[in-house]
Amino acid sequence: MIRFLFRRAAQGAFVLWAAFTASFVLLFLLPSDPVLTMLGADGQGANVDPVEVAALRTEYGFDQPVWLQYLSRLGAALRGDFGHSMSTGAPVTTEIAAALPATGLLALIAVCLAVVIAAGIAIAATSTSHGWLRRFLLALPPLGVAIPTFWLALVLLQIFSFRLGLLPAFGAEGWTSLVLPAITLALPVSASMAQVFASSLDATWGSPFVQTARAKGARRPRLLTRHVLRNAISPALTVAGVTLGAVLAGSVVTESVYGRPGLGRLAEQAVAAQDIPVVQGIVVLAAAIFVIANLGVDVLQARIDPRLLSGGAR
Amino acid sequence: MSTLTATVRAAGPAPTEAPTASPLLGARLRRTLTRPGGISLILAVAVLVVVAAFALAPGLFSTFDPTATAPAQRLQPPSGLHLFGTDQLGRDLFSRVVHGAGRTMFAVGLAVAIGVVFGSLVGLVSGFVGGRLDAVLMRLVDVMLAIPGLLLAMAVIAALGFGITNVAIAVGIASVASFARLLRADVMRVRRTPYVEAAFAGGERTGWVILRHVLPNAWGPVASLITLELGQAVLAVAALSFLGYGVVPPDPEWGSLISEGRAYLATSWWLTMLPGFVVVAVVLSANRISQAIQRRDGVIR
Repeated sequence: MIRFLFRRAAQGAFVLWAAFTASFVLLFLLPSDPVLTMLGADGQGANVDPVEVAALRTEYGFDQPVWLQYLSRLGAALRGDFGHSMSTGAPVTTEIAAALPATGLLALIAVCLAVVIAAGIAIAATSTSHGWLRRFLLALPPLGVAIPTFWLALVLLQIFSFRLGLLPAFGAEGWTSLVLPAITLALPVSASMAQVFASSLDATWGSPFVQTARAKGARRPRLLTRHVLRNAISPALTVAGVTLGAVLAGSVVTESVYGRPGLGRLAEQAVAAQDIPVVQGIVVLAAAIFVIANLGVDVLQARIDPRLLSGGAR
Repeated sequence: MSTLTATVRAAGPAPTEAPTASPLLGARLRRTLTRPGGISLILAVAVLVVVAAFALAPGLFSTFDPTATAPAQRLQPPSGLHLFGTDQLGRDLFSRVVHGAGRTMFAVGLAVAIGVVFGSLVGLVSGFVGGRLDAVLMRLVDVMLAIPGLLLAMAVIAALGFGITNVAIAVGIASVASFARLLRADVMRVRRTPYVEAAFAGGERTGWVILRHVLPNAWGPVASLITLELGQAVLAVAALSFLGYGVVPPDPEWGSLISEGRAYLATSWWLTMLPGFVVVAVVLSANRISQAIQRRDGVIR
């Protein structure tokens, strides 16, 4: 188990390093000049003071050779310093830390909601003996994955805030303002989870050991809880790991529509202002969330199915 | 007619046969219609054909100039004259959706093309050469898959700047990894088959073997991924231009149309709802066709 974890952690560290490097190459070497963008003179360059430009270049280290810039930034990043935001001047880590709690809470609620919805649909669809109910339930996930998140947010606003007046439309005050954003984030994610979970449940219901248990007289509820769920849950867990990334991406449009502060909002504004250090910080954070979520999923799967450990780390 | 359907069914043992001459087209259509889910498949194809027609010849379908303002006609609900109603400047929303199809579909097409070309190139090289190069390329692909597609596209936009072409490039780059991984797996499978070994043993050149033997046989799953990514690209392009990274305001585009309607959400539901339905219909159709291709190829994912 320890060796397995160690291997996974090393792979994760590599992914983080590569995400940092790739975003450095992408963001620092491409044509648009960050200093000119910062002075709001990208493209024109007429009324820019050359002395000011040179000073800013020195301040951000853009006047140094690329490899030196890279090494010093990598070294700083290892110490938890991702530079300063170009629009506010605050450290990137401070900006991200300020935005993280709001999105974290929203994401947590959304993931829990998504798991409940997905499991509900998948278990109900695969357990029911009514053909029409099964067909109806299994038609929902494909619909869910085709709906744009930003549009879903607007539809929910339209119905629950403007038509029915049940929930607040904008802002982040109180728990009622969390309901619509959480549903917005949860529905598309639950749709892809439900698809995987339902097909995995179907495959497990048809497997020989379930047939055996049924032949020995076990009833369906007992079959489901004792035999089927534990064996069918592995693919669903893998998808749940990827889900966190999808929720993070979804938070960009969700927070934009509902006017909530958070990581998604930070990302949206950073891209709009071409605030490159903040964008890089968020990219690395997204990779870190992916790595940690997958590590968590691996550990959970190893506990649920010990065969994975003896088979060696994939 | 039922006997005809029956004979056609009996005569055509494999539903996967290649498209033949046009006299059989009616029979093929009928056969598809009678299969379970056949109607939805034909509807899906029809939706994409209509949208492609919108994109190619918007003038044929729209009765109004998409940018002509008519202050007296502002914020009219849908009617026989204005199918989708009018916006805050009195512009006909249906005409704007029709004219916006070109821009959206251009971006989607460019994005998918970038994903297919670069993804296939990486996948082909990785799967064919193998060894260290394969290991390095696949670790890169892993990293790209570790970052959510929308965030990756946003990072590319931060570097390239705004505009619908940059949005398309960003979405395309974000989809390279999944094409690379898929083609690599199939190239590896095909490379070890006897006919490829035989071609090499026969002294054929590597480039020729790849073009003639490896690519055609490894291509199958990519076709279904292309249609799937088409739907995903519509979602991504719409989301990015909804956030305001795409077109310049007076030009219509689906994501920005929905974004413009946000301010009138409380009073004029059609401004956001109806363009959104069009996006959903296109994505659903692309996903349905992708599923049909997978079924035909016997892939169950």
